Amino acid sequence: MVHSFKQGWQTLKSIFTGMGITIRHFFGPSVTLQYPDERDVLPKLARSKLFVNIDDCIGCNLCARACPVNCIDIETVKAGADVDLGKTSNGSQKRLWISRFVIDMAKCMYCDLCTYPCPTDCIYMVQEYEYSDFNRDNLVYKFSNLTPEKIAEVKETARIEAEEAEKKKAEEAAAKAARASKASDSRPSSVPGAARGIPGSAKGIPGKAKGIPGASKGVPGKAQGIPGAAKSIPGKAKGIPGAAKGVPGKAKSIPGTAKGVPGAAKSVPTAAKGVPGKAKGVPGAAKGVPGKAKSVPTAAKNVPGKAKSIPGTAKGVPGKAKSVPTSAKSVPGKAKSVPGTAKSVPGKAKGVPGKAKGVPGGGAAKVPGKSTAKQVPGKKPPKENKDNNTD
Amino acid sequence: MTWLESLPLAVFVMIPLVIILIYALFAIWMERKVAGFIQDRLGPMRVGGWHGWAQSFADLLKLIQKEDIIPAEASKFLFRFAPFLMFAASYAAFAVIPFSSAYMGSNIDIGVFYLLAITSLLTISVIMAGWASNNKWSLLGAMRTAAQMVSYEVPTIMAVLSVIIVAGSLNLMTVTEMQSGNDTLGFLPNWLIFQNPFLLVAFVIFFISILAESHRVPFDLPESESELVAGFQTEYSGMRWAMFMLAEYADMLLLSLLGAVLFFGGWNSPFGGFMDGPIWGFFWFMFKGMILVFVMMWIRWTLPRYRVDQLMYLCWSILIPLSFINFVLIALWEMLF
Amino acid sequence: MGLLDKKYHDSNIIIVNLESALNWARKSSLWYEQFGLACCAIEMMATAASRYDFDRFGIIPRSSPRQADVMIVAGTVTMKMASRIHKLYEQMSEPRYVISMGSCSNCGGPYWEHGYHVLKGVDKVIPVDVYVPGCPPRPEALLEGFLKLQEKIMNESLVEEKPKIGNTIEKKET
Ligand code: SF4
Ligand code: SF4
Repeated sequence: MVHSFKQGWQTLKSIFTGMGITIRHFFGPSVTLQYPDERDVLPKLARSKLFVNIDDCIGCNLCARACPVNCIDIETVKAGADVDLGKTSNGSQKRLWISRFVIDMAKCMYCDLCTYPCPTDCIYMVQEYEYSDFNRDNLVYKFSNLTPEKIAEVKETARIEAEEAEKKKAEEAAAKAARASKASDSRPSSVPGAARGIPGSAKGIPGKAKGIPGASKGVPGKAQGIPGAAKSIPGKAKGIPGAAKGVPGKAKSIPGTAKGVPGAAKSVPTAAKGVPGKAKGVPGAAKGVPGKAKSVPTAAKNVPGKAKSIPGTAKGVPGKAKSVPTSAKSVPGKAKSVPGTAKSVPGKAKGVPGKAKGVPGGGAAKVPGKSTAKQVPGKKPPKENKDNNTD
Repeated sequence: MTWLESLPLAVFVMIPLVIILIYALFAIWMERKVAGFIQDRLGPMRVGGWHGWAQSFADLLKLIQKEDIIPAEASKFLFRFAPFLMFAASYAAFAVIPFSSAYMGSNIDIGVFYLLAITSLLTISVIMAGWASNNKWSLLGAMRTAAQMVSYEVPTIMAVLSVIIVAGSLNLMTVTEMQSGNDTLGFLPNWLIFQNPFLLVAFVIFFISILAESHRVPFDLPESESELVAGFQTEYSGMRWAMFMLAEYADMLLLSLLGAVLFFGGWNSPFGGFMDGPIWGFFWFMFKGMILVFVMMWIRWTLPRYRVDQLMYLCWSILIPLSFINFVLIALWEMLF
Repeated sequence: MGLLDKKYHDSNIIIVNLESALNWARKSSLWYEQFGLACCAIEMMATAASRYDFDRFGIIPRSSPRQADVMIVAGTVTMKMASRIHKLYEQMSEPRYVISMGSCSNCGGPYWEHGYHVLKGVDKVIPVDVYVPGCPPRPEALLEGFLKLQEKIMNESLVEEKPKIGNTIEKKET
């Protein structure tokens, strides 16, 4: 009873307290900002719409790469050597035409991450938040100030220049190849590496080594004849850089192997380098160790049968790889059929830093698909693994 | 009677309707303003200019334009009929309200009885709407409403009866007339609330009950958004829904006016003979009614909603016993003094 | 659309006046469907609260779609929610409008590329009238979206649009 009365009293009291509060607010001032007539002053770092001062942009793509949403789309065209694009306000030289700079503000999540990496501070947030629209396409903001004609023009120029550059390169490469073939002929002794794979034989049969380099260079067919030699060649590879250069074609044929046999890579770093796949991804590396590539490819050709059986090993047991490098190499055929395997191997390559150094192992990993393709010209090119596109 | 002869009668009958419509437009705007001010906002500001005075007109005009949806599985006749029945019930009850000394729809001797009886129709129309919608929220809301209104009718009637004991008449005009004058304690108006200390308690009971009768917060369970979407109105759109709104606001006004008649002297001026007369009488009457309406709104924007069981507990375990005890005490007081 | 929308073939002064009156009513009393999907809903609530105050424009929430005029799609529309939103939209009575609030409902937002669970824009399931950009949009931005919508409503007409010559689709008897 007493409790009930107490409760009743408290109920009434709280009701009246509450009503007292509300009536005080009723007569109190309002805190409302009457928006279209009044506006808040936004804090200095408020995040709203993005703006790009395109005159300052050097087209470095850093903002697009920083964007977690991928809503910045930049396309640049290299300016010709004789064109001066001017400088940005902080003095960096501009070298790229920015043919497209699109920010999809409908996707943007206003994280501001794109503004920090910009070396010229030309992408930043402006204090504008009222830009709703009836049509979503209007929320895609284009910042490039080039006209379509201009873009077409600069693209055309760039294309011509690129073609010329390529031609030059090709010529240079041909010249080099010629030189290399000469070198290898003159220095057959450089093939001692083969000895390793077949340690005993290698050591004992330097003569063979000599004999083999020539084959590796120009004549893949020959390679088949001397598989043992191929295996043993990693050490040599280093020794015979000249040869490597000479036989780019071979390099291509071996990529599959390289990938497949990471272990081999370790033991035969040169071989790893030689792995055409890598060559593409890491052109620098490829160049450096062409010799090795040559030496190993032959082996691959020689032991196609083996190749098949050994790919699994290569993947799972890097250590093993070393012992069976040759077989791995030789399995180009498999490489194609087992692209997955091929992919898995690059990691191993990395694992063998010592060797890797010479030929960035990573490189191989990057271009597994491609490398395989090259090596087995006869077979179907392996599928390219596209990034999952969720669209 | 030709139609020309019946015209005055029609006008006579339409007066409460005009009052209700103007009041509803005003009250909806006022409710939003009150809500705004209590929440430190401004409420309607931009529609029509000064403080959004045209807000209710815009709402009304918009509701007229809205598509009239009747669910495929609804009971079509009842679905269409319910809003009109509801409004008709609240409107009919205005017949016995003495708006001023010069105007009262029907001066009948059982005014209070008639009023209480006819407002019970509201319960029926709500159930009708809930059932006809063929929607579980509607039905649940309607059941809650029915339970709530039936329960709270008991304390309402007891509170009204206690006034009737003191006043000695069921005719609301008579009840109002006997409250004229300013003699209580020498200066207070002769309003019934000052006549008997227990009538104060009766007023509190009455006020709580009419909150529940008109589904106002804290007893707005039939329409509680958080659990029942919109209660029995869930399936209604456009003008049909507007009829519900109108009926609800009319009900609110009706019960407030009833409170003004029973406890605050109806159309009597608080200053005795000063500012008296039929026109002033109407003004005072509406003024008192609107004060009560304002308090209802004030409560609405202050208190949270009761739970269903708490609602029933409050009614059956507190208000009803209290109103009976109070009834007896009032009777005793009347006998003694 | 509404009661008389596109019911007339010709325009005259009465219709023009009626039209602007009805449009005025429609734009002044935009009741929105009371629901939110994600973080934008918080900002929507903030807009309805004291500081920005939806009610100044006559915008109030209605919990039943039957009585709502505008749906604010506030937040990430997941695949699961998409069908519900569609249903809610269908339950609304004409004339009805949709405001897509925030990046997620505009086009999937941060999930546009790899979000396996997110609808890439609510306009894939319901027609959107106004897109409010932001993540989430400021309350002012949402209010601006409403102002844009009001602008759109004011341009609606009771008069049937004359089919453009050369653009008519002939009905084929089947
Ligand atoms: S603010 Fe964030 S989401 Fe928007 S463009 Fe920049 S990095 Fe991308
Ligand atoms: S980071 Fe700056 S300079 Fe680089 S592309 Fe982006 S906007 Fe241009």
